[in-house]
Amino acid sequence: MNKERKLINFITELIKKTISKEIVWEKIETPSYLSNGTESIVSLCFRTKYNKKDFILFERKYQQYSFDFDTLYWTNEFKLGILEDDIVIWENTENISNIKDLYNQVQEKVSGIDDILDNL
Amino acid sequence: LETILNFESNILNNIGSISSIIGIVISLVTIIINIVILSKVNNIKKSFVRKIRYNEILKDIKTKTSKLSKIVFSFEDNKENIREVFSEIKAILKSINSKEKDKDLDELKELIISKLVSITTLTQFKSEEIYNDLIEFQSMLEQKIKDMKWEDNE
Repeated sequence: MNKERKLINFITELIKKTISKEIVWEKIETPSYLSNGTESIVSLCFRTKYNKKDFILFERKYQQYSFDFDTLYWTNEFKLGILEDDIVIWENTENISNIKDLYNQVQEKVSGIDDILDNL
Repeated sequence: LETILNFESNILNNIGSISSIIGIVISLVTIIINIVILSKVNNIKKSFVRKIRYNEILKDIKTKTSKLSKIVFSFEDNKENIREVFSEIKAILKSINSKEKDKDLDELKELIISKLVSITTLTQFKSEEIYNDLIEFQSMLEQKIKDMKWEDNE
């Protein structure tokens, strides 16, 4: 099994545990070093503890050049990282699509929208 | 006088022969240039069509995996919906023309189709496995599209 596939399986596990509330995420202030000195924007960050590790989840918006239209445009990527002493010591460099699914689930859980809808 | 006339005649014949040879060479070079240009245009067209087609497939797959991610983890409540999404995904994957050759992508596509076709009893484990396969396919396709953008401009 290659590294990408292992990461996909791991993120699927995180999604399942997030839905079942086995792991709880909290919204944290975005560490300034994630966007300072770069042209990217990180507006929302989440953090949780899993397997004795601190995980961070965020969406990074950045500009990319379009060859077709000869212009810069905004795009985004979703990142999962490991925090140690409040520093991101690892973040995924592979293109893993289900991080976005995890991000959406975490947003729903942290915002409390699920509870509001369940109480209707 | 006859000698002079013969000499002039020879010169004219030679000029005629040289002109014919130059004409033939120019025609051949023009034909070769046209073939090269047509081949380049054909390659650009193929690459353009492939890029558009891959973007279309990615858009369709993204919609389905996003829908799947909302239901696959609450399996018991959504069995029928999952089955329906799987059936839609199978149709999308089967519509991908095998001419669009990217070996790794093609192999994964065939693997997912074979898993979807062979489902008799849908289980949570099986559904999650196929969801992971689809995420792998989507990630691979996204990466291909990114790479193609650079290949075209190198």
